[in-house]
Amino acid sequence: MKTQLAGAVSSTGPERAVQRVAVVASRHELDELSLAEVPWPGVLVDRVTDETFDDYLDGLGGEPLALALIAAAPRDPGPVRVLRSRPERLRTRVYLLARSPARLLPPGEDDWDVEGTVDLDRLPAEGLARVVENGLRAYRALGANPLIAEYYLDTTYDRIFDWFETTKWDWREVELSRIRRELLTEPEIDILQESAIIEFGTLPGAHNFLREWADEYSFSSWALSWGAEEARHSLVQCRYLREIGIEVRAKHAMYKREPYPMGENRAATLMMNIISESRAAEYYKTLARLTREPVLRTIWRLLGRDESRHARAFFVFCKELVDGSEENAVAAVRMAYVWLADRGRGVKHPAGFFYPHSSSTSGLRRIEQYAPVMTDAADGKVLAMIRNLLADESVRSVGDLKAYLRRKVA
Amino acid sequence: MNDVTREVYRIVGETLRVPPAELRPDVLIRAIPNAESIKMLTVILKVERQFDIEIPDEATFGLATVGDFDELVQTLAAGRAAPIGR
Repeated sequence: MKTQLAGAVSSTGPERAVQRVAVVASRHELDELSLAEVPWPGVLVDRVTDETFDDYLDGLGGEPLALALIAAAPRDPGPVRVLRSRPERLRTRVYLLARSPARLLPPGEDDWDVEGTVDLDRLPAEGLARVVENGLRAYRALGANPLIAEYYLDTTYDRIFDWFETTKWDWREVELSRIRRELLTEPEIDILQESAIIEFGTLPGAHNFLREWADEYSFSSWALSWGAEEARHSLVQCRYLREIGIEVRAKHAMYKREPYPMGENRAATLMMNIISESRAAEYYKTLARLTREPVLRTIWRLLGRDESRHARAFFVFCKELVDGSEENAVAAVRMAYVWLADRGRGVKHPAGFFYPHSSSTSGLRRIEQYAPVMTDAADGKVLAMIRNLLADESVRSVGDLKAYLRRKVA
Repeated sequence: MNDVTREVYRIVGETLRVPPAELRPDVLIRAIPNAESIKMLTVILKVERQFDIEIPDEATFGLATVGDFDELVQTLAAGRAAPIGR
């Protein structure tokens, strides 16, 4: 094996880290392939004979291999098979170099996750530079998220999609023309306005989810559905208010437009949302039970059901993270403790927590005071989810969360 | 400044990344730039471990100043140590 550093490395940052490329061919073919004169900053090129490729991979140990350019003999993907038989090398991108690409892989054996084939007889003037550039871009795009599976549908998003999709409510269930204004109380109208405004806070929540989960597509795809459903919550309540002669000012949506700081741990972010959705679910369900106005009862019942579904979906994604990492479990429990224990100055909710300049903080307090027991009910459900997350039936109170943290952190 | 106070200030300073000279009894905990709830929980867990005490949940997020926190730790630590000393 012969190594050449092609070009200088100007920075040690992750986007400029040295990336290793292996050119694999027979000894005879290696002599014909000239790569080193192409200036690829930060690219380390190893020239490896096909007989020694297995040993070469052993020698790399845990070091990443970004790209393999493999000069395979027609109908023999030997080195590709060697590479793909190693699960830790699934991210390595592969191009096949050949004189007759059409005959390169036997029919039915084209599932080696090869990016493309390069006809060495028809190389453009820049030679293999474009191939290397594309290969490295593809490698970087894959990222390092351990939850990304080999196949697109092997995701939590796919597992929960049907359940989520088939339990959506339909706008035809909400008959705004049948509102009975005389059955509404002034406190209810006040709470309705606050609920509509608080729901505006979910939009930057969706922005943040996409930023925080930028290296994957499973949770991000679900977050789009979540955001679309949450956006309906403001809309339906604002439309109801318009029907009874009250317009909600756009400024409330604008106040909540700005993004809040990204979380430091995804499991913790999800836990925060499990709690806020569980509480929102109980608030809406309680409000639906208390109101005498049938259309508003329907709306709040539907929104309560949505928030409950959301809490369970956040739980599924959180469990995925916690199952593989005690660090994530501890981060989730820390967040749970802070949000469940700290009720002294009113219930925490992202809408009030991140947007203290809007009316959400006082609005949430008014909603909580309207039916105080509902937060206890919600938090009881959160504790049940935490027991499931940790596979620990002994977690029954906020004090138990603290005890868990003492054991793990101390 | 006794040993307990010195240790409390050290843990608060290290965890919240505040120079020890800036920590005084009248400094409001919520005014310290890094003192958000999760970081404060870390402070609490470290102090509990250091002094083998248990800080009540209601106190964890209700403390106003660094001095209040120190005083609470002093009381809890003294309470824990008292039976041993008698």
